[in-house]
Formats: sequence, structure tokens, C-alpha cells
Amino acid sequence: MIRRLTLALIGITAAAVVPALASGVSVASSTLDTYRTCVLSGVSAASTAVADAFVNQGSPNANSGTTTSMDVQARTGQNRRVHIRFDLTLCSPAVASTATVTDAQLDLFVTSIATACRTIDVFRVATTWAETTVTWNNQPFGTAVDNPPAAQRTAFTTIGAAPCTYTATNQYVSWSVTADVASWVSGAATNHGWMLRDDSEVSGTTRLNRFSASEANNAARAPRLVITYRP
Amino acid sequence: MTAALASPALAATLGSTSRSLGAGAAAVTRCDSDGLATRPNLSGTTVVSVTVSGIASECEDLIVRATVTGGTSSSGSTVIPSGGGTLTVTLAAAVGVVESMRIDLTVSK
Repeated sequence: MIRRLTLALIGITAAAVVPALASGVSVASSTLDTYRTCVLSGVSAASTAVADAFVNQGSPNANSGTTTSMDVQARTGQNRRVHIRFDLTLCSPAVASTATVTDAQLDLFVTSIATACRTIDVFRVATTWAETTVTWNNQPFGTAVDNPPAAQRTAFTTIGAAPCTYTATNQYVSWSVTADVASWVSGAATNHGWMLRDDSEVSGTTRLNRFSASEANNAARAPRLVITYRP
Repeated sequence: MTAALASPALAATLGSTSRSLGAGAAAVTRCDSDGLATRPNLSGTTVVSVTVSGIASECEDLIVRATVTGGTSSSGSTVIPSGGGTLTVTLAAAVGVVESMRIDLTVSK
């Protein structure tokens, strides 16, 4: 008898409590996860979000910080490399050092592609450079070709003729740079941006991939960095 | 005793994405442990949609809502398909691209 009463009481209690709890936790609108993405774009020459320039082995003391395009070119004695840096402090709200960066992509809009499939490497730069003064002769990684070695690259993709990943012009080309951005956000490393070069700079034939620069004043083609993180 | 009776029933109802119970706690079990990637999709100089990728299969049937803030602000939402993967959230209105933009993304029931 006592056991029957106890079971009955349990049943009544459960029936009364479950709906109340379900109502209390607002099941229909529970937010389970939250992300934020900061998109920095070099939309104009006046943009402070991006510093971008290319250096030219053929004009080793020239600076291209104000040109509207940037070249990555392989050609013995005429190599060209891109330098680019984004000001992460312009993200609003600021990305906290404790944030977890789940993805970061460097996007450049390609306007001309090589007639052969080329591998384009991205390297994290470890020293300072300036958009209006960087040249082939004073670039952070020095003037030796194929330096730094590909093994030190952050990321790579292939651009040019088939079977490249990117075979057409007028589209964004992306490199995954999550680890670099995470190290900058956390403070483990200092943000000096990236250098992009052809994976093999020793070439008897000109292999040119050209990208839109912030100085093109075109938001549809702006260099951009897309950072997704958990706040 | 009451909580002990109620929790299993409620957990069964909510599945793996349930909130924890007790003393107003708001602890949440995420459906995706390794995180998502988000990309803005342009039409000319405006953002018209957002691509979300890397969604775990455990997130299926949940709702993704994206709010893009740039020259203006606009939102959109969609249900995560079976198996997770990649989806596109179309914004209610196009948002002009500016130097620094923000995308707020939530995954909810």
C-alpha cells in the first residue's frame, strides 16, 4: 500500500514539474552557440585597414604601395612578391585575446592569371615593413629567390591554367591563415602581415598572377581578411 | 527529489543540445566542437548572403541566424540541413561593404 502511494506521488510530481521546467528554459529559442566574424577590407586608397604593396626584382629599389594592382610573378631576375597586412584593431567590437579563432581566410581578387598552373605560397612576416617604403632590396625576407623555403609557408593555393584550384580571373582567391591570426589575437606573435610569392621563382618564362589592391578603390575587389571566432 | 525526477524526462525531450538545469544555470552543450567558418558573399559592392561551412552533423535541424553589420545592417536565417556541412543564409536586404564589417552568427533551437 505504501509502495503504491509512493509511486502515485512520484507520478503526480513528475507530471507537474516537467512542463514547468520546460517552460522555464525556453526550449524554442535557446541559443546554443555564438560566433562573430570580423571582415576587414581595403576598400579604398584611404583605407587604413590594409597595407599592401608588391616588390619587383626588376626594379629593386622601387616601391609600389600606391599602385592599383599587386603582382606575384615568377621569372628569373624579374620576380615579384606581394606584402599585405591588416589592422586587426579595426575590428569592432575588438577581438578579445581570449577569443577562439575558428577560421581566418585571406582573400585577394585575381584579375590576371598565369598561363600555367602556379603554386602561390603565403608566409607570415616576422619583422616590420611599410606600404610606402617596402622594395625588393629592403623586403623582410631578403632578396634570395625561393626564400623562405616552402616548408615554412602558412598556406598555399594554385592559380592559373587547369588543373589549378583557381583557373579563372575576376574572383576571390583564398588562403587559410587561421593559425597566424590566432597567434596575433592571443598575443603569441606580432602582426606584420604576410608575404606571397610563387613557389618556384626560378622560371625562364614569365608566370604572372595579378591581384586587385586597396588603391583600386573598388569594394567589390578589395583585399580582405575574414576572421571567424567565438567571442 | 523533484529535480531528479524531472531532469531525465526533460533531457530526453531536448536531446544532446539541452541546457543544463539547476539554480538558473545557463550552461549550453554545443553541437559543433571544432567551430564554424563564415564568409560574406558579394553582389557588386554589397553583401547579399553569408556562407557558413564546417557545420557538424549534430547541428542538423537547428537554426542559423546571421546578422551583417556594415554600411547598414540586415539579417537572415535558415535551418541546418541533414548532415550539417555548408549552407547559405540570404539576408533580408543587401549591406554595403565598408572597411570593417561584422557578422554575428547564432545557432539555436
